[in-house]
Amino acid sequence: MNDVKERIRSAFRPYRSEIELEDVLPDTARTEGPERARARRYREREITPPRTSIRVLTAAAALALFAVVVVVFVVPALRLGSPVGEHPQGGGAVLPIWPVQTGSGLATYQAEADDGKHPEALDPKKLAERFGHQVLGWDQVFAVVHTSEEPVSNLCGLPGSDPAGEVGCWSPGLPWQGMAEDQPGYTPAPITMYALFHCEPGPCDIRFFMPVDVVLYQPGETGPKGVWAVMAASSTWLNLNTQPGETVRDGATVTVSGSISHGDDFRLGISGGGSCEYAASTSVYDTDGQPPDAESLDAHADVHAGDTKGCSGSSPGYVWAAESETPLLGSDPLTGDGPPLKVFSAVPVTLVAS
Amino acid sequence: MVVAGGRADSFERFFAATKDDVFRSLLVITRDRALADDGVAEAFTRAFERWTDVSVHPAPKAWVARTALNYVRSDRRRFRWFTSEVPDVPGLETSAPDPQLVARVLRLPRRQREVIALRILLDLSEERTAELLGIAAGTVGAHLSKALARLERELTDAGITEVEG
Repeated sequence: MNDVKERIRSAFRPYRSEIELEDVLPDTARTEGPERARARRYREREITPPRTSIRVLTAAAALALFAVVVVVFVVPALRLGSPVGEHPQGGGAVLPIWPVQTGSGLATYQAEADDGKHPEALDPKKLAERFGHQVLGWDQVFAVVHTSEEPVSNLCGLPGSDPAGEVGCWSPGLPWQGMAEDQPGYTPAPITMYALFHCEPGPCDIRFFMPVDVVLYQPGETGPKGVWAVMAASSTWLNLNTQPGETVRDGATVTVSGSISHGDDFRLGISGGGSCEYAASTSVYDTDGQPPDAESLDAHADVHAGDTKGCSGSSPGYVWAAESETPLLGSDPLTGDGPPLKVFSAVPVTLVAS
Repeated sequence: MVVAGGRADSFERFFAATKDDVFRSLLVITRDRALADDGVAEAFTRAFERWTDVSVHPAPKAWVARTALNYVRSDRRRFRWFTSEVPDVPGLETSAPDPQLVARVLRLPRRQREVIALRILLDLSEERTAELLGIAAGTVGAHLSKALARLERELTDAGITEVEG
């Protein structure tokens, strides 16, 4: 423990404040120096309502981080070439969160797709839309593909956006200009990301709605006959601190931070997949206060899968967080038995029971 | 920088000795570099205005930390939509000797980050930390143990046993 403490001290030692003495002393206390920088800092700070572009850029930053996490943590795991198993070990292949969550489920799903069932399973966009209908509970779903390099920032008129770019762009009030997957010859990458909107991205007022981003991949067979599955879902307003494919042991705490609208219901949950019947969730959260239109939150849930049937050793599982205008009760959105969701994040994990 | 008088002189020594520690603790708590700097500026400005009292306070560093914490909490509420919850600090400091650990500390739950910031980076006692956070001293210890155990486990799982460059 002492070693970790010292490492923390060392790790943060290079971080230094940019505030100088003249920034905090009043003019009367010094004989030379620039104007009081602190006053300048406050003048420079805008005290105006947040603009849409700021929220969008915040979302872009969050999504970019999510993409980096996927690339850094998940893609290497996929490249290991390990067979997808019922009881994955740490560092092995990453199992999907939907529509199947186990190796055997995936094999069955692939076999059924080979027999002509689940036509949407061979098309990532259609599968993403189905996820929007079945898991998010939306009547209308608009799935927009984006690359990890250029995620939500591809909005017309925003700094750095490219209206004529490969993946198109959109902005509130303007007609949707079309996306890459609508173009002839488009082939989805082995791992691809979609932003799911419940209103058409053109006229959709993104000041009040941000998309749920989903990562899709081919967990087994690749190519045109390989089924697609959802690896993870991510929302700007509910940030899970668990990474896709992370090992979560009994006694660990999973966390989500972000904000929810006043009056909405919130829940953070952990569930086992396959034969592991573990399912736990909480609606309790800490908050820093109650701003006018949303409430910040920080929620934690401890994992105790050891006593649950079918959960000995390692089991596939997932961590999720959801926000809804309707009480979520104990429902697990990934089993499709909950109310429509406004915000949803979920990542696959390996549960290790003690 | 030349300051006038002995009062400012003793404040200058205090400022030089503590401002980076206060900054680092705010950085871990807020995960926002600019907000952490604002907290440092605000807290030390107030400290100078009350230096006659603060300088004889039994724990002036704790006084500054409390002032800074109160400031960033109120500021964070005010600017809720301006601040991302995403830890974006590590990439800004290319000379950090252990970036993996920095990232993992910043991913801890808020309460655990607060305890690490005050107990480890600011070196406050368990009692002072409990007083600042408004929780029991035993709870401080519990949060710290949990945070350190988690970091140790994560570093072991990730195979990071040595400080990385």
